Amino acid sequence: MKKPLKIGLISLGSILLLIIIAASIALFCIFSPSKLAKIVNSQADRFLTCEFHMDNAGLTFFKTFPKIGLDLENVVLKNPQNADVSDTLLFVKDCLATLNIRELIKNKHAEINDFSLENGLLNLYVDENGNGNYDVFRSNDTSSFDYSIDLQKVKAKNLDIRYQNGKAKQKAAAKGVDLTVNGKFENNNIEGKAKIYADNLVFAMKDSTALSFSGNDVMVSYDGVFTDFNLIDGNLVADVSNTVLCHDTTTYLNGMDLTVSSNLQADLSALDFELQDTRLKLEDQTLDVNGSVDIDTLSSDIHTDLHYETGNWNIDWILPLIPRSIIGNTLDDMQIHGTLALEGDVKGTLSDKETPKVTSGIKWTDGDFAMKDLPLDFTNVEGHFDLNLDLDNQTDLTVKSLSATTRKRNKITASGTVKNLLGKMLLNILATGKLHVADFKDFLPEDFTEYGGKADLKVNTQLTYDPEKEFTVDNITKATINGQFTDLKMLYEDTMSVYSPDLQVDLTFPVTEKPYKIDEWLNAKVKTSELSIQNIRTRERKEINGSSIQLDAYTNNLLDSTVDLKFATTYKLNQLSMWADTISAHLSNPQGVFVLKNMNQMRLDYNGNNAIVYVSNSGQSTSSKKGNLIDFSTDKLNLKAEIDYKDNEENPLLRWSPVVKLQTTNAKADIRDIAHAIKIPALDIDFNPKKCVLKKANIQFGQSAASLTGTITGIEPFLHGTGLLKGNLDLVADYLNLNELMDLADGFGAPDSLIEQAEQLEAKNGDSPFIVPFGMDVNMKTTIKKALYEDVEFRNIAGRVYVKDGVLVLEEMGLTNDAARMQLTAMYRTPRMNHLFLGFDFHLLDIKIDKLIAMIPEVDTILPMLKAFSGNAEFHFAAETYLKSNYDIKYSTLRGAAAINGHDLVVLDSETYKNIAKKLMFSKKTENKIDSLSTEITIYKNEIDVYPFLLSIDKYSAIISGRHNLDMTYDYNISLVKPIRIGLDIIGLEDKLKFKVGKAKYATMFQPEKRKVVETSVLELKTLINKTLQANVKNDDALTR
Amino acid sequence: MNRLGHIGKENRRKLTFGVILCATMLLMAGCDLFPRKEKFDKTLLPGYWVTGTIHEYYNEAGTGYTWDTADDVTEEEAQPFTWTLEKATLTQIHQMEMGGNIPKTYTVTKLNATTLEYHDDYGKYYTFTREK
Repeated sequence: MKKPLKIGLISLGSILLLIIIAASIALFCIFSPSKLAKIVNSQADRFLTCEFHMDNAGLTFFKTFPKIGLDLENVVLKNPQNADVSDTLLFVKDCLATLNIRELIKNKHAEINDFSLENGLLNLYVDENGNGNYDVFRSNDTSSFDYSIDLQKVKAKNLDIRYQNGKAKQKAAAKGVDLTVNGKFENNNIEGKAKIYADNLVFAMKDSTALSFSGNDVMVSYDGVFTDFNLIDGNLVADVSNTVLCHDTTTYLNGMDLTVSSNLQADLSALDFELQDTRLKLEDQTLDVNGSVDIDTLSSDIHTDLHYETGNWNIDWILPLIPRSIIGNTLDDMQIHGTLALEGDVKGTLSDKETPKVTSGIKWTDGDFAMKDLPLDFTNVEGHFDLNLDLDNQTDLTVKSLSATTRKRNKITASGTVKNLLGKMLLNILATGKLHVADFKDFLPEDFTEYGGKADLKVNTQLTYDPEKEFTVDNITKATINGQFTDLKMLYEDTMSVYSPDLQVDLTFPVTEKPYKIDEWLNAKVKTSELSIQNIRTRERKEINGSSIQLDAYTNNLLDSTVDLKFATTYKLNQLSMWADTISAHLSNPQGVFVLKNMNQMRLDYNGNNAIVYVSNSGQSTSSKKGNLIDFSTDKLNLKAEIDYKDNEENPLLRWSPVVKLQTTNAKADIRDIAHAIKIPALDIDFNPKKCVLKKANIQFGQSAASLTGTITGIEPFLHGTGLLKGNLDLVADYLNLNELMDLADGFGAPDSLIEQAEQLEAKNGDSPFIVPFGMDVNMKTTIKKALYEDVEFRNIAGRVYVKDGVLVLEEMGLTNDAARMQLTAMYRTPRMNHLFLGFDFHLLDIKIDKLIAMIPEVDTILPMLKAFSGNAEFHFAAETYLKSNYDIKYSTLRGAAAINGHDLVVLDSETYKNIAKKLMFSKKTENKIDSLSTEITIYKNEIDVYPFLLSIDKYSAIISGRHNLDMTYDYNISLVKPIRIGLDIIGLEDKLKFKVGKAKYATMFQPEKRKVVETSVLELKTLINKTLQANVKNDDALTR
Repeated sequence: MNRLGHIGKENRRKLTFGVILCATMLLMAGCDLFPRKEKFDKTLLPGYWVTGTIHEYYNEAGTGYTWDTADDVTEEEAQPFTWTLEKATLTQIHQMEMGGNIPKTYTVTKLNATTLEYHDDYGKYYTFTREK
């Protein structure tokens, strides 16, 4: 800028010099215009290197009265340099200068006071080498002509000024320039006021800094000094209409009214400008600038150090002024309204390589904001921002404070930073909001149809945003959302109402910690004093109610629709109650972990106190009252369960494939169909589909109390129906009431057909036989101090109990009672309801006969004569039969064998004995002691055959044999073999026995040398019976274990 | 008395001996001291025999099973035994599932292609008809 001004001033000075010369000549030539013109033209060569010409030069007094004026016409300076450029340097049609005649005449000193130009052209040109066409003054002027310029007023009117600098690649043009300068111009120093008006002004730089400026009605006023044609120090005011300012292809101003006022200090040669109190007024918007601008004369780089401050700018007006080259398409999807006020600095160099850094404090008031893809709009925006605009590097925005209202009644605030605002943004935003939840329904799960309550939200977000790309959740680097909900109400699918008076939710995503290895993305910490879920259609009850709930949950990326939900949480509650159709559960202090690895795999760790479950048989379990099917409670419940859901598995248990570790303390199950509650003081079980380990199971049922440990395997084949449930258990009990326990186990696992038979029989006859559990092979080692079966109490029971696929076996069970030591092996199975198998192998040692009969009344049926003896006996008895559903014996299937060995017996003095003694002519002095008795008995159907046995009483020996039937008809024979051989048949009903003397049937059976074939055969059968009977007696220890 | 008085000592001894002999023979015959049992062909026994509701099946290998439909027992639920037939003595040893043996001995009185008759020593008689 300095060169055109300097050149203009120099040219002006040259014209003035010519005028002075002309005036002086005029004076010398006695004011003759032709002479003056001739003289000036002739004398111009002394001062000018270019062609000079004027048409007329004359003196005037009227135009300049009281001063004399020199009036020149058609002044032309020509200095051709470039064929493409006009050779006219200057043309002025009318030129008028006032002279101090007195000074001129008296001192021959030409003093010009006023100077005016009218209708002219100044055409300045600098070629590529920096040679200007205005350099036309000779430096070796030796004229003795003395002159001085003491300008007080300079006026110009209707001048056209052109400037072209081929070296600097600059062009400027001003048309219709009017100029008024009042001041003092002396010795290259100008002091005064100047006003310049141009109809049109154009300036363009086409070097690396492609800057152009144009305006109409340009009015520039200046009040100050202009020293040595170089230094400017004054107040400058410029008004430009229809201002157009462009840089490169960017239009900054387009048709604006621009006003610039400044206290300007400038060094034109160095192109340094110091701006004070500078105000740019664009239309009604103001910009105050202070600072300096330094233009490098060589590189044309512009160095700035400016401070600026705007007035309150209307955003709607100012935003369109921001070139797209700067702002890009950032604002395309935004609607921003309100008032902006900026204050900041512009520091740095403007060149083709650099752009100054602009810092700006921005105040945004009365604002509105909306953005595409952001489903919220904001009103009442008040914001305070710091903007660091660095086009060469990164533009950052700091949100110092921002408040707004969204959706009419929701207040939000925000602060934070936006790095690289004009590119791929990095945002770090802290936002708070006082929100009405219902207003944000579109943000919340669609399954919830209604919302209510208020939320205090605090959102801290780090995210990236690229305007060129769609915003996705992956843009979120880190976000924390803290929400405090008050009176939160949600309605799920128009049915389930969810309510919390005070829900605290803290969300963090994405998270880096992976405690559960489920691709953790979101962490949610949830806390509430109460959460209730209620079916609004059945308002009489709640579905879920919890208190003091704390969750620390993780999920994978919920917003990624391509992956299944993964979820894990710790939970801790003070109390939790749940109601389903027929089940209600009430849990105290539940806490633990729940993990949903995928939709098929989940894990639950549960620790809690006082767990209660009620099960009813209808949908009426709506209160906390006890259910009427199952009531379950436990003081303490520890559960670790893992589930691997298998879609292709039909069995419900195997479909879930649970792996469970269960511990309970003081558990109790009260089941309606079971006579007594099942109490479990301690339970510790490890379970999986392959194996169940009973580490500890202390169970009480009715009068029974037992501890059960052991292992159960084969669960999976059992549930598939391809194998048996296998168990190896140890049962230790102080007391067992077997009657109660058999009722408990009745029919477990039985085939449906059998259950159906049982139900039909029970309905028809009232029969309800015990059905042995099916599908299992359980071996239980028992150690029982006392057990009650029927009405008999046994002690010290030790042995094994097998249950194998519908067969119950008591194996070599040793037991004792008041009557004897015993060993029992028994089998019971239920092939069908009306065909029950019962078999036993029973050995009693050292039993008193009367006790034996009292304990087992059936013995009297088997061997009625036994009640005629008193003393100890050894009793081996094996029998088996099928039973009807009412336990009646099917006599056609009855098989049995017994052996009785007695010693030191006494024959009781019964009526029968008297009859026998009489018929056999026993002496009245016969002592009724028997040393020994050994007999074998078989039972076949209803026939009880007593094989011959020898009985010795005193001096008498007799062999007794025979049969009686279960209808108590007798057919016995007593063969007296000593002292005489005589037989006695005893025939008839028990109460009407007939005694008939006859032959001795087995007279020689126990005399080997005389034994008959038949007797031998009978003895062999006796031996067969005895051996097979006693073969099962292991040893004496077996009976006393 | 007088006529007895005319029998001489010799004759009296002979008469006494004859009476005793006759009495002894009669006694022996009454006491079946010389029982004579018929011999039956054991190959006729295998087969399926029925009397009333009682069913017996004899295998050639000396095994068999029996059931009584009066007690709602089916053939599949029949109980096993082993058998021998020596002359007229039929011995069934019924086997208990629990491991014991129950011998039963009968005397066969008739055995042919269609009929089996036997009885035990206590006067219980059975007459079976072969079914197949």
